[in-house]
Amino acid sequence: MRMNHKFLILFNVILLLVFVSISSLATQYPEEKAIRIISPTGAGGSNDIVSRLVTSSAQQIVGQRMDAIAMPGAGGQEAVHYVMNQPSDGYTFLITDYGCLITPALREELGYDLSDWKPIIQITEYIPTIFVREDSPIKDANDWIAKAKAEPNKFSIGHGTNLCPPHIGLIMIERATGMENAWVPTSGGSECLAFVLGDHVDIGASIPTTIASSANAGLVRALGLTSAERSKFLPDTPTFKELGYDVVSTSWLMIFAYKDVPEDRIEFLEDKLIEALKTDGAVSMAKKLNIELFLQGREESQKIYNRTVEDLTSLFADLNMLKK
Amino acid sequence: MEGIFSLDFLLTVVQEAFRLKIIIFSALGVFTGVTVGAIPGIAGDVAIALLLPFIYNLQPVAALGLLLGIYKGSMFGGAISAITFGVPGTGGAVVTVEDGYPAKKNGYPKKAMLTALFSSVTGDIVSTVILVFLALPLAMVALKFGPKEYFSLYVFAILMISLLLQGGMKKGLMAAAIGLLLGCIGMDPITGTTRLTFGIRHLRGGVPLIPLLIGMFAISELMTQYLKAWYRNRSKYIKESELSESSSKLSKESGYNPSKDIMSFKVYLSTLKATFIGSFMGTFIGALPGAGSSLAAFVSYGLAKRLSLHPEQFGKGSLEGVAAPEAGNSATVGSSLIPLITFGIPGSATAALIGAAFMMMGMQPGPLMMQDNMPAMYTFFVVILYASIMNLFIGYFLIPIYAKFSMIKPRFIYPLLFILAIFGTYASRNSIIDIWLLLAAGLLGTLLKKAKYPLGPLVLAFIIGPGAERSLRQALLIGQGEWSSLLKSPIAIGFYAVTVVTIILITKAKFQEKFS
Amino acid sequence: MKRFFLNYDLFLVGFITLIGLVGLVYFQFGMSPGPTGPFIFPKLSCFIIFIFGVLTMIDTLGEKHADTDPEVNILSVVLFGILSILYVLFFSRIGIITATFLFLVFSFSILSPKGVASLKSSIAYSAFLTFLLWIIFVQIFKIILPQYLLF
Repeated sequence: MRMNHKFLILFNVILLLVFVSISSLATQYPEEKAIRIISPTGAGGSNDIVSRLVTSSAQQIVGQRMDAIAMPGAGGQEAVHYVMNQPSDGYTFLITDYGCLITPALREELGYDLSDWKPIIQITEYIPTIFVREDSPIKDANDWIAKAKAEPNKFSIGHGTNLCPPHIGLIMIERATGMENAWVPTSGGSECLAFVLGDHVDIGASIPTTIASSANAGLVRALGLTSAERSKFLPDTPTFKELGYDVVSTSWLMIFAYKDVPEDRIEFLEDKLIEALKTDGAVSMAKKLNIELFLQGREESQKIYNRTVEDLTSLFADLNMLKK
Repeated sequence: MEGIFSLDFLLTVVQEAFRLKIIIFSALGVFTGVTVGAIPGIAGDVAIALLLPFIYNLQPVAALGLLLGIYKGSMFGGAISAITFGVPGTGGAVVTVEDGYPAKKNGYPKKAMLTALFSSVTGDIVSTVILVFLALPLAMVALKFGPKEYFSLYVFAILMISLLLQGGMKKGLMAAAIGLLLGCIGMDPITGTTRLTFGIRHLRGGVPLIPLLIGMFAISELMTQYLKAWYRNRSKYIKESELSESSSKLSKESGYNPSKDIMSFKVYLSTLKATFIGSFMGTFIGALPGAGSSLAAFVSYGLAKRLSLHPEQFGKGSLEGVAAPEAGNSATVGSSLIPLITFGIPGSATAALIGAAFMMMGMQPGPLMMQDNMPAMYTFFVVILYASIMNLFIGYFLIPIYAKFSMIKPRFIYPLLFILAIFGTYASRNSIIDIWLLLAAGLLGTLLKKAKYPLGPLVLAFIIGPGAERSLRQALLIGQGEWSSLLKSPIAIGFYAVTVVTIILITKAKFQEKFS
Repeated sequence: MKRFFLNYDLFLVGFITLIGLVGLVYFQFGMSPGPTGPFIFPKLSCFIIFIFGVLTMIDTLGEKHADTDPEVNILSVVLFGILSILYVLFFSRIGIITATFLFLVFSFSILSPKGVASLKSSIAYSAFLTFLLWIIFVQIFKIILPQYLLF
């Protein structure tokens, strides 16, 4: 028995050495290359749904398989770092709003510069929307502002995660109006809506697609939007600009390439994606999904992106939230 | 409402629901969910995530059928892995391991698996019936749960489980606190501040659940059993090992006697109370957005143990201890759709996927969903019901095969389990660091097991800790930092009262046991 | 003191209690105050660990025999631990499929009562299982595994 055992161990060690010595012949398994759009939020969420709209509309036109992959975690940084670590061959892209890309990078060192990311196209816009329960004692936006100014922190406001676009919109409103409310971060738009409907918070800050169905059913009432123009999902809701407050704060949803992705590849995708999202099929699917398409090409998207970086840098500097 | 009882309406619904494509995809989904969920090392969520690209390439109706099938199948599949190998595929299956794995070791794996199947399907059907007839009232109750109420529920769950599971109360609470501390690693749920990462970027998102679960259960079990398998074969004292190599199905080493492993209606009836406790508890907890199937399984187990006539059997292979959590976690499938359908608020990550599939069909989840899409919704309910029946038949067909796997000799099973744990962990996030976390969790699990710390409270606290923290801090933010604001809710007071009474009763029982 | 190290239960609970204490001290200084701050929960967890750790230590000191699980053999843990670390180190160098095949051959043959006579069957089983894993994970689920050898 002992002899057999010794022989066995020796045999296994030799086998190991043989394989290790020819390991230099290893080749990467050839993989059918699909274009992957990585979303930093969970499957079924708004980013993920837009991402699926893009991949299903664009596959035929781009002429290649396209996969929408949700990779939540670490406040979006899982997805961001995943895309960063992929080869720069133009097959892996990030779809995100500024909340998962710009905001965290302004607050801590994350291993990338904001200039490393190149927007390819903008697809839609998220508009921070302030809303209350239908039976809330707050009549309208002006009523809210007056009451909140008279009694700071009287009202509790639920919003998504800390410093997400609706929260930033809320901060901008407070700065422009001089009021103070108690912020209550939640796990996202759904929890925020649940808290408002259940009367656990007085007010909510979310985006139109999250509250549209409840608004249409008469369960909630939108007080105001922080966009330049009204949303077609909430046509009766005024913007804060209309109400006389200089607040315009929206979040775009863009597809990004990380640095070193070849220019011709980005150009190719820009053309094909815009073409795909203008087709009747894409437009009707977007309507079904309550997505208002707001298409912009590379150049315009880059300008918008740069402006957002500047605006957020200035805001965080004022709030003493920039990284040291 | 009268419309839904008309013959035309019923015929339309039945015709739509029994379209061949939907039946085939639902069956395929259940089969895939059970099979993938039963592979130790592949968590139920991983099964859904891996199959997601296939789901979204289908037409929405077929996609819904497939998704539902996988959701249900993987819930039950996790029980097979828990019972057969002691490896939980999801957080909820951790509790199934408590009694399911000892049941297998005691020689009745098939009975345990069938109990899990029948109670799973019962729970599923109960929650589906409640979904169909009581969705709105239950959703209104669920909306009453805000931060204060959630926190009180989490406190109740953690304390109950820490005190009830095998092992001393103090060790149970310590294990829960370790789980809470592990859950604090990464970004905090309110401000996003990173904690306890010690500069390791990969831990920014926290310790992932899958390596922790599989490490603590599978790897720790392997660490303790591996050498035993070698030793058993080597020892001069165990001569039967030579015989068992050539014996056919009965392994004398494991002492399996098929005649003692037969399920009967009487056995099912004996677990019916536990099944119904799990079904109703699971339905209620599933309707609370974000509460999760793990919480449902743990609370169902705890309650079933409290109300059982034989609580001393729990943790030693009690079939009630298998029935309750399985009914509990399966019951969340139907009820997690309640907030989605009534208010557009998904009750779970999978419910969010189902919501996305609805949207792709042009149906907006929310208060108007039922009224605007009545035939489609009732078709969907019928599909949910028959997917449960499919789960029953497919599960029943697969169980004898898995029961045979459970009796494969340890020297084959252990190395394979290890490899599956590695592959399953890697498949979830493509990360080598997760593999190291897996091994570290295995070491931690082993060290704790050696000193008889129960792992159940640790896992539960790890899973619900972030939610509990978020609820606590939200409640305090709303209450302007006043701790007394936590008690400004009759529901919260109710849960705290039940918690105090439970602690008193359990402590009293343990004192009596000690001094008798 | 010798008893402390010999008594595994006491040693472990002492170690965990110490972690609780260190955590309490760590979170006390320089961390944002207030019940709504990010350090309330870690503090609470460390507090519970410390309190119940002390109580458990008192209980354990009073016991005559260590209350440990005899099923858990430390030698087994160490040996398996070394084997698994080697496996993980190897698979990132020679590829997961190759490393898996080798690990299975090693395990099946070492654990077999028949010694070298089982080598052929061990290789056959290992090759078959490795192939099955490759089919499931690479072909069906399309997971990209760490770079592997020859195929």
